[in-house]
Amino acid sequence: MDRDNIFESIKQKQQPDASLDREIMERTAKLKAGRKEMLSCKNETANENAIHALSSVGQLKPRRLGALAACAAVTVIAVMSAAAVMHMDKPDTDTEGKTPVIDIDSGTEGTAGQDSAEAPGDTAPVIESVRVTIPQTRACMEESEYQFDITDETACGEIYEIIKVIELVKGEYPAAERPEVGGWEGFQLTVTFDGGDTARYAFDTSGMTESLTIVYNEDMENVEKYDLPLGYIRMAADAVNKHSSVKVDLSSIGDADSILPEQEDLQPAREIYEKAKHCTGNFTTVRGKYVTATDLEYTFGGEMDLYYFRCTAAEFRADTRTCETFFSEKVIRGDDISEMTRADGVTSFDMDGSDYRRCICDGERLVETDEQYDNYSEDYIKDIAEYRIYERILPLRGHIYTDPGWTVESGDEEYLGRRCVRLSHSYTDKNSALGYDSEALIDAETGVLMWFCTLRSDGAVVNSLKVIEIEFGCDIESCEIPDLTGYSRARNKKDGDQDSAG
Amino acid sequence: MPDKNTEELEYVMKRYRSAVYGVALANTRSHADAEDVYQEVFLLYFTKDLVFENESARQAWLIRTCLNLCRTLRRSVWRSRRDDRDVEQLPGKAPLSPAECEVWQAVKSLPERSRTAVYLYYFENMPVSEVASALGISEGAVQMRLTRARKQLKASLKEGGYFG
Repeated sequence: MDRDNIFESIKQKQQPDASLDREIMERTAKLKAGRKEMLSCKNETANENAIHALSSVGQLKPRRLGALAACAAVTVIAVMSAAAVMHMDKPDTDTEGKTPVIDIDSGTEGTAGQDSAEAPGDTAPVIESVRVTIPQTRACMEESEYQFDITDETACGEIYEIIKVIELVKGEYPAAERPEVGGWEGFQLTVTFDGGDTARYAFDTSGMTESLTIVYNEDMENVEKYDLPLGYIRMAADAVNKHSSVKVDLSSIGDADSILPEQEDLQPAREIYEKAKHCTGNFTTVRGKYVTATDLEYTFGGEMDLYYFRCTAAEFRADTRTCETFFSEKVIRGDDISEMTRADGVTSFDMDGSDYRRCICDGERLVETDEQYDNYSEDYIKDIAEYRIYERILPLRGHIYTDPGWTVESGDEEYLGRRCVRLSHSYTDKNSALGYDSEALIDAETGVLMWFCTLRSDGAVVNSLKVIEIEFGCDIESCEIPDLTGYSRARNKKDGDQDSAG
Repeated sequence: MPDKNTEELEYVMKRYRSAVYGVALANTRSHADAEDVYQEVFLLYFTKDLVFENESARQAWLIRTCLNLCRTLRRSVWRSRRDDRDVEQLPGKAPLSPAECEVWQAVKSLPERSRTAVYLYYFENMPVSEVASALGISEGAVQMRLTRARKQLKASLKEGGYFG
């Protein structure tokens, strides 16, 4: 079977069920009916019913109910139901020993899944959501509150896990035993779930990360490896190498093989991690002095994300040895110009009147937004923070150095006073008549990518980058406070700045 | 382009069902999860007042939304310890041949970012420019992901030469 046939065959065998389509059509029909009723309805109660019907229809129920899921979900629902019957809040004044407070939101009437015509207005309240307040503990540095829909198995699972984890934190880690490593406070927990399976979790409690980081489970299977602090690992290990008196203990996180995906291009990080892991002690402020500095100017292709944004130019300062960036850039989208400036690892920028404030790290981490469904903002941010660094510099270099498709042209040429070699590459798109031609200039002495351009066969520039100024042997004084969260708090030392950061 | 009504939804679902479901399946690696995501994508599509300049924009929205929902699902602590043994086969679905299984397994084992690009490029036959739009990255970045993926796939697939 040839390539195209096998792909087509796999695709055909993995089509969604026709019943799914019917179900979606039914749900949308109900939504439409609910909307119509709401618009035409003057009666307040009926209007509420219509709104409720809409939200019920819109609430999807997961289609699978695996044994494990059922087990845990039932447990949680049972807990919630008991609390609901007793109308009981459980405030606890003991900071360390607080249990999650569960408030029952019983203000909604009707039964999930009923449409507006059937929704009774005078039946007993049906509990549809719970509010879980997580008290301040060592695992949760700030009190936080979550609202869950208990008709959703996934949400129930989340509540269940939060409760279990907090109990474990309370039980296993008295304050005196709280490990602290260089500004990072963390736990490693072993959690046993209903059904007997176990998982180990690494917690970051320093407040620098916004979610729990699941590292691995006992059998190393079926667990997603979330954002990995490779940027940190690299930086930390680098600092260890440079400053023999500085030590860091990463052993509590586990083996590198456990947390680093099996990916060839991560091998250097894995090796560095292994080195760093065996050091012990605490990090303090580390001064990094970079040996090279490059000012880069990016020119983004005009057709990239045409209907989302257009970024015509951006500038930043990059350290070419570590790929650390210190930048200030302007993003041009239509007539709007937004600016973003990095300071202490936190980048804030304004977009369409909304403030987004997120940690952006060292070119290895994803950046997230609150609005998970808002493609525009997420992609925008990803583009700026991740794509620009991760997708541009690092892969470009890796691509050029590892892809056998690159041809080194004979001779050398000068660019910005440096002796460079020219490389070229052609790419054919099997799904279109278009092809791509790339060329690059690389500094022969240092390997710095000096100039890069990809042209589509219709003439469009799809990717370009050029160094506009380069100076070697120039120190960039910066302050680094490595921490195990993966976020480095670093900044340029500017006029009037103090050494401390973060 | 049809108006935003039932006919439009039918049209959109018919046109993009394969791509949305395939991306969901490649990302969640579970038919059950893929079905959840598949439903939610089209319900979101219906409930949002979206206007697209062209089909390419609509396709990009659907795929991005699908990826976001997959990401949300993966973040769930709950999902991390769930039994995923329903991944390969559901009742009523035609079984994959051994060769197909091998290819599909190899694709699923790719890192997320490469996996989606490979799926759209090889299985959905989308040009690099459309894959780039759908993923919100440049065409150059798509090429890089595909190059990396091909390298990995070549290593993991013993025979066939599908990704040579």
